[in-house]
Amino acid sequence: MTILGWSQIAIVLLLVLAAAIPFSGFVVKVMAGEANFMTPVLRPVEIGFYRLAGVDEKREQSSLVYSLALIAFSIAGFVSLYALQRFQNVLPLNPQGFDAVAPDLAFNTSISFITNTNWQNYGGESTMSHLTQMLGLTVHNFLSAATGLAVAFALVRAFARSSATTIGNFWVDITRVSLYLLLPLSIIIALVMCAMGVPQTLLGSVEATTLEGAKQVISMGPMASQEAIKQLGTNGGGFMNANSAHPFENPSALSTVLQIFALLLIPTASVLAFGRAVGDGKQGRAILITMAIMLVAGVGVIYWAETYGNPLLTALGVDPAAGNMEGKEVRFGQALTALFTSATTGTGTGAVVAMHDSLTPLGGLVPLFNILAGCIWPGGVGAGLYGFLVVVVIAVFVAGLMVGRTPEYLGKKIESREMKLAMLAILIYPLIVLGFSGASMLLKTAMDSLGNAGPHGLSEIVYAYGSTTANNGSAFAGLNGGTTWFNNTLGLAMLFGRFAYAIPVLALAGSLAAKKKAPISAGTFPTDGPLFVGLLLGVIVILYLLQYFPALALGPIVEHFLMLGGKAF
Amino acid sequence: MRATASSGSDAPLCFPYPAASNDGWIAYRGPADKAAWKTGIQAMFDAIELIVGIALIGAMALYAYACQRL
Repeated sequence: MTILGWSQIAIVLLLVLAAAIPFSGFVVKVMAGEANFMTPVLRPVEIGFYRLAGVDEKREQSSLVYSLALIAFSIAGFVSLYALQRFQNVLPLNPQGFDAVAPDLAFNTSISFITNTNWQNYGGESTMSHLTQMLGLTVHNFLSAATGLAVAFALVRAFARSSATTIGNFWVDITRVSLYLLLPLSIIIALVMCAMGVPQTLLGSVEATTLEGAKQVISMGPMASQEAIKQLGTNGGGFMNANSAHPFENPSALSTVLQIFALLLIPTASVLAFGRAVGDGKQGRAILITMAIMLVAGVGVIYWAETYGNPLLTALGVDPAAGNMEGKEVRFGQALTALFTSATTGTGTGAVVAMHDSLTPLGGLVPLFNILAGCIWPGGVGAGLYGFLVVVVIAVFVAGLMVGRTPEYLGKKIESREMKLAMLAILIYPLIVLGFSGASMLLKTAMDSLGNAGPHGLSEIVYAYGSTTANNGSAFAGLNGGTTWFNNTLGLAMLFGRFAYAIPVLALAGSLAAKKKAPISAGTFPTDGPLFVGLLLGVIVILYLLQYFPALALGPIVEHFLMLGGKAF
Repeated sequence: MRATASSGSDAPLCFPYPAASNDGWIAYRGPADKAAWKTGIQAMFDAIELIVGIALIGAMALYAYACQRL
């Protein structure tokens, strides 16, 4: 680790914070439907959408109707994306003449993109036509992110309102998020990426002659436009097989900084927007500080572990000065790679600049823990905020038990029903991750997909189900997920990880919105100070380590000690 | 991100089905034609995956209703 490396990390994070503070005010205005500087241009478009779809923007929905709208929208997205893949061979914009996508892969990919996961059991440049990439995958990069933020703001409104029966209008929310937040930002980021050298073309590929005289086909396509929303929407699905490690998707260290900035911006701003929306900015700041501690702690562990290197490689004569460079890009370096890795798994992005499979065991432990915790520091667009607010509800309940008072958060009493809903949401992750991982261990067909044996193989399977359930989408690599078993079970993990989590959250929103806001009194537990931050950190550690410590111990932790003992997998 | 080394795009079945076997599913049901059976089963599986996806997401509506009643 070097001062220069930590300076890079600090500068990028400060840039994100500097942009997120003013942007959070804009987010609040957009979600409240207030006039902003883009209203003169975009408001007519927004109204046009409502007229076209028959939406009455003044009519709000109960939490049940909001949930049903989310489900209906997701079914439509799933069917259209599935059909697009299955028919791509007879549809236009297929310059490379790709076949239709196989049924199980189309199922997996459709679920993956409507849930904001972007797990990819395929190589984009060798499987998907330009039409599928643009009309299917890129469009769902926008819509799935908008859906996440819509759900998050339904919950935010529930905390902000008193004795309310509605939590917003789903159709209005996704329209506003897409139109005012995601589209303008994506256009700006895509243009900057083009300037940095990311291709944006409808050409299929070009053929080059290498120095040895061999022919090499270089895939091209509309990458900058997908790259921008891939990061802004915390989607993570790359145009190319190698994702952001590919020089076309991410040409330089500077473009890496831009990508980290883009993937952290909206989640960070959303948390601050939460504070503004409930009328107490300190509440958002307390949550953001907790998230930042977890994120930076993860960066520190990765950075330390990777620069410390792999003693087995050192013993073979590899210069240890650069640390463990296996699976990394020299042009990004250790510090930015550590920050990107922690940020892409701390959010629900899942883009990668390095192969997580090649990290040292302790370096790999961090992204694994981040995704097992549900990618909530600062989380995916919207999903991070509502995921973390569920943890807050549990922390407040624990605090209430300790002091013997009815737990309250922002004046809302947290009672039996709220706790049941919060636990329903929280428990779905370990149920899916550990259940499917355990089942895979028993199946030869699943075990045959492993690239590595021993604890590393266990990490590969747990990571795959953790990544899909938490809608992250990054792969540890080393696992052949393109089989019928994995295509189907990982698809189910993504589906339940998204909907079986979001639906109790919306029910929680409905329950909280209906409650009266109790005035602050001398007995109110403060939720905006360092004590609450400490409590949140304690709850996070207890909650997630209790769920996953056995899997972590048998995976990366034992692998670390075996590595020190001279054994690699 | 991308998870595996195989593209998954080389499955034998593609839409629309090849002209020779594009005369309806009933044509696949002759027990003598093993290849046609295989294609038919794959087509069934194809439909099942789509229906399972719709059914599971749709089932979330019941889950939403149950959560309201909790």
